[in-house]
Amino acid sequence: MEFLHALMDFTFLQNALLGGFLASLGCGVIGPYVVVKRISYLVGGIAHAVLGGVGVAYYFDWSPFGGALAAAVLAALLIGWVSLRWRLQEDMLIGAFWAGGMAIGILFISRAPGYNVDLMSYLFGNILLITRDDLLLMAGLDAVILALVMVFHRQFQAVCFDEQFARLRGVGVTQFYLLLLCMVALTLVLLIQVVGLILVIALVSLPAAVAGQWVRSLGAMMLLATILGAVVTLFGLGLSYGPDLPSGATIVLVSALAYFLSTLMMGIRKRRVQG
Amino acid sequence: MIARPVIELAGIYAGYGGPNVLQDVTLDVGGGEFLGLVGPNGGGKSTLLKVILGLLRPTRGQVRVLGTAPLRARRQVGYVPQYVEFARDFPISVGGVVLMGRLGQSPPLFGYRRCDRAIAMHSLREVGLVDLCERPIGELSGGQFQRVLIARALATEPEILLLDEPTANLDPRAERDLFGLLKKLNRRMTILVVTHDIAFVSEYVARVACLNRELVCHTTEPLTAETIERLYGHPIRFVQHEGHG
Ligand SMILES: Nc1ncnc2c1ncn2[C@@H]1O[C@H](COP(=O)(O)OP(=O)(O)OP(=O)(O)O)[C@@H](O)[C@H]1O
Ligand SMILES: [Mg+2]
Repeated sequence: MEFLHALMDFTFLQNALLGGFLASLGCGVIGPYVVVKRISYLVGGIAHAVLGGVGVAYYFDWSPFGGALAAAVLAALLIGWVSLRWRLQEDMLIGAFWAGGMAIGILFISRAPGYNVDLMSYLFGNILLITRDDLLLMAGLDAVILALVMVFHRQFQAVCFDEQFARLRGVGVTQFYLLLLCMVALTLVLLIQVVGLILVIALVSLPAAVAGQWVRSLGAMMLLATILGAVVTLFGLGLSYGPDLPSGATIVLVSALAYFLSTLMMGIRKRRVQG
Repeated sequence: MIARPVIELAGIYAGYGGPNVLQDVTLDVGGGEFLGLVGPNGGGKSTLLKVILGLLRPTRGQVRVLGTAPLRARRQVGYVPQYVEFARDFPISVGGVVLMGRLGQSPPLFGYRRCDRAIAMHSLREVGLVDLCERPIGELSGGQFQRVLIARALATEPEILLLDEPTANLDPRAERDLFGLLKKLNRRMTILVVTHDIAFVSEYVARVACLNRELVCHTTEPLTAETIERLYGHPIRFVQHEGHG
């Protein structure tokens, strides 16, 4: 309750909450594709490779946000292409990008002039530092993601559902798969400030996975996952505020709990139906 | 009787990097024809369909579909695969799957049109599954699921329909219904069906091609015991199905 009062008084908390909601929208829309296509590991690879871009941007004194965005899109295209080309070795290749990207990031950051970098906020997020400009950027990314989904949802759905059939219907499977991964990359960038790139994969996949247990269409999954994401952010932020816990980690923990709870309830319901 | 061929295969060799799976296959399928394709497991039937669909490029020989390259004719060809790769727990309804058949036909941006939905419903009706339209795809029996795949192929409004063992999971009655439906569809499209049910084929199908790496025979006569023995390598007892209709 202390949190609610603080929320009235402090703009930084309002910004944080709004940022969390904007991020929930992005991952609520993209998360279901990631879950049904079963590419969480691939998305984890992209997320971690982003650190490489951030490191390079710091070293050359470019905008870290730009670095993260460029690195995310580049990593999405590279990892996506590699996983299409060498399906059988996909696991190892993603692992290599995952670790390689992080290593590049760490090396560049360690050599960056002045080494006063708040590396931690990239790794674990810093939702309380979200500014008005950040919010505008996040809203912009959301708009791009939403627009693309509205225009091409059928193609994305077909590519996730049955690639061969989509190809036979004249859908450019490779192009749409890579476009989808680029949208995932945008979502990751959205989320980095909220929970940090180590934990983003949780917020992309967990709310969508919970939604997938309760509804039976991609559209409904998107709606439910967005709402869940927002609720989870609100709770996480509220819980972390009083005792001054890291908010990103708290938010992720709340969403993991929600997932376990939902799985448990699903199990009970199934048993009742069968029993 | 055979009109201009809609599928032309000339001296096709194809494989998956190893030894050739198809050897020197030459076959024309006429417009409006109803062709059965039979042969032993591993005989290359599915491979031949993939060549026709342009999913597999032959190492030698020429394929033409509707007078052009398979890749360009693709959208006019409906396909019911033998296996599907997708997850059965995918959150989509039966109607949603069938609607996907409209993808190549409907304009590429935004959602489906009203006429797309009408066509999808019509296809579902043809395979007798309208009642299951809202059912999640994961809650179907094997045979119902197979009929959904057929409806999806019909929703593409194809000129040629390729079916790879569409009766594998069907009960005898559904199988008879399906062949009846194919017969009806044959009035407006060319049909090529892979099957192991030789008795049925010879009853419904106008012409049968037997494939065992090479084309062993194609005949408009009812299959004889000798051809079947030559094809499968051992005699097969004809199982006579109960009368239909
Ligand atoms: N994706 C693949 N990669 C490698 N070899 C394959 C592949 N698919 C099929 N083959 C090989 O090609 C041969 C022909 O396979 P195909 O699937 O065309 O047979 P089929 O006539 O459809 O058999 P069935 O009646 O069992 O469906 C088989 O020997 C098989 O081992
Ligand atoms: Mg086969």
